[in-house]
Amino acid sequence: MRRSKIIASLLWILLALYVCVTSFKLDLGVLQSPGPGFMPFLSGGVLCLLGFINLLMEWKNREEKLGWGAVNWGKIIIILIGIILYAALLQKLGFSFATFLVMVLFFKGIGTRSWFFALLSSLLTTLVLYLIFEVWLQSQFPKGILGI
Amino acid sequence: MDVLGCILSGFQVSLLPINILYCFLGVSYGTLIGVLPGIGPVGAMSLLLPATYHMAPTSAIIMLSGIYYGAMYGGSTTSILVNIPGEAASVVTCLDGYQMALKGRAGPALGIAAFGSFIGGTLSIIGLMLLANPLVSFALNFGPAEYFALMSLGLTILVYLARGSMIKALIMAAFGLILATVGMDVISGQPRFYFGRAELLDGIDLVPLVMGLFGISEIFSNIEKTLKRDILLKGKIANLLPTLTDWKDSFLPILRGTLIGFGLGILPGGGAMISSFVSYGVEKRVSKHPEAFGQGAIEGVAGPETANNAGSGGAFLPLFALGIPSNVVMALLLGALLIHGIKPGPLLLIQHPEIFWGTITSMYVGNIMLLILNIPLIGMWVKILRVPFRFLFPLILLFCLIGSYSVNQRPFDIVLMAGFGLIGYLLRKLDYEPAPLVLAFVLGPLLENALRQSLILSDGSFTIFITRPISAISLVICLFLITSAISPRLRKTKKILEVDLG
Repeated sequence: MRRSKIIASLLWILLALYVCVTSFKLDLGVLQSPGPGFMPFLSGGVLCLLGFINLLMEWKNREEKLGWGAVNWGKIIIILIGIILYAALLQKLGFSFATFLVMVLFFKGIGTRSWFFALLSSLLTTLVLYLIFEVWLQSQFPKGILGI
Repeated sequence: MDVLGCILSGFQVSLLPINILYCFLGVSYGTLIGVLPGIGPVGAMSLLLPATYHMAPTSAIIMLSGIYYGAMYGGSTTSILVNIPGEAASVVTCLDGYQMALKGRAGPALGIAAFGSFIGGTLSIIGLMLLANPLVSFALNFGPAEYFALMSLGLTILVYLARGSMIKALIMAAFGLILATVGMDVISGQPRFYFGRAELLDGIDLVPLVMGLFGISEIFSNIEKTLKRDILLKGKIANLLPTLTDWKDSFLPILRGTLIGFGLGILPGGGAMISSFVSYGVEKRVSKHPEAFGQGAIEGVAGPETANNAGSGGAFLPLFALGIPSNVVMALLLGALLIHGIKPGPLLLIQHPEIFWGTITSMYVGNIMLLILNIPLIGMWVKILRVPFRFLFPLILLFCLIGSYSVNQRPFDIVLMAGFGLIGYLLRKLDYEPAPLVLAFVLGPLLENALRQSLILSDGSFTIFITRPISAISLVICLFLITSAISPRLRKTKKILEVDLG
């Protein structure tokens, strides 16, 4: 964990330096009339300073023994895949079908072990949402190639 | 217009059937969110934010406000019955509320929490009504230097109160300010940090950011824990009305809780959470039997529960009167108002009195609804508590997906939300609190405008911030709080005051 925190501090410093350099190119203006780069340059400068202070504090803190804890990377990756797939398929497959597919993934991946329950819950959820958004609210969600 | 006339015109707005409906939806949803651990009022409000785009601004703010103070009511239910706080402001209620429930007194604990919340909420609304006009008159003299200094103070206090390292909280604030600069610069029209993506020319939208940081990342955190939920009472919960002895013991804690809650709520950085913690500390200090605290003392429930609702009411004052959000929830409301093209501040009462007085009077209505929802419907909320997380989390994820897409009808916002979700989760693991990031993100454009205007007015001189008294005092307090992170003795004081802001 100590190593992770040190890496995080280094990343803040790198981000701050990038922001400062880019802001400089944007035009800092003058104090009487600050330009578009003024505020990001100021924020980046402060972040850089804080990043260095944090780096020193993490470096000196050798008592840190705690780890990352019980990170469930498997479920996190499933959720992220589901979200990215939803973004990619929503406009192609349409709101209802994309929602059904992603709910099957979520229910099976992070919820129940039973395929039957995952499919049934996803179907019911999609149906309720279809009634709310398409029928009642007449929302302009994409219909996709299936037209629903 | 005098205060009574304003109140009557406010009721004309808040008692419109559509606004009563939105108030009811907001407080019910807020109570549900308060009851359910796993998502707090910030995440809940961000889920509904896109739905408010098609509403009138007053209705939108009535509903979103209802979620905030509704969550304060609901949070006490899980604290008392399950020893798991539904949201951060109900943490202290666990200490004595759960102990009361173990002794078979869950009913009076729930009852006094609901009545105390009602009294605190109602009295804080009266305070809001009385203080709004004088504060607005005073604030009309503020210039950009005062606004810059007060916003900096609000941000600094929030950073000071964040758990853990203040340096990390400041890093979050600086990161939030940087994120706020993405998009087109309002003054020069020059695009900044948009990486060639047209979607970023208007900046990062608040909804995917908040949903990611508070919704998605909370779910990532919660799926790694197996929350043991022994619902204490399987049968009916009886005796919800407190006895005369309970009222006698709770009367002064409720009064003190109201004053503490409202007083702390109106300060920048204040709100429901710090109010409840301070109230518990005060009740324990003044009690004739402090040893009873932590063993089921009703004062330990009455005071904090009153304070958190009074604090949530008081927090509206800086937002409406000055246009400065005092905590993350108010920052979201500020974002919602800006989306509707309304800038809160001293001119809000003059240009849009219906928003201020309509929202304030709707809180009376909302508090009455909440008393009705929480006392007889306790059984229903207990049933909802029994819904396993494996059903809830996929549904919450789905709300996040729909919510983030519906903002601009762009898949890009969904991906952005996922990115912030992962970032938010990693930040929590590395002991960074996301709350200062969100407040800085919302305040960023306002801070930048105020700073640039101040420098233009002063011909490039920073002395404008020192020569104006309110600005000078605010910045001195900021400096004191930041340097207190260095002093070991003052660091101990910070440790005592730390609260969980998420």
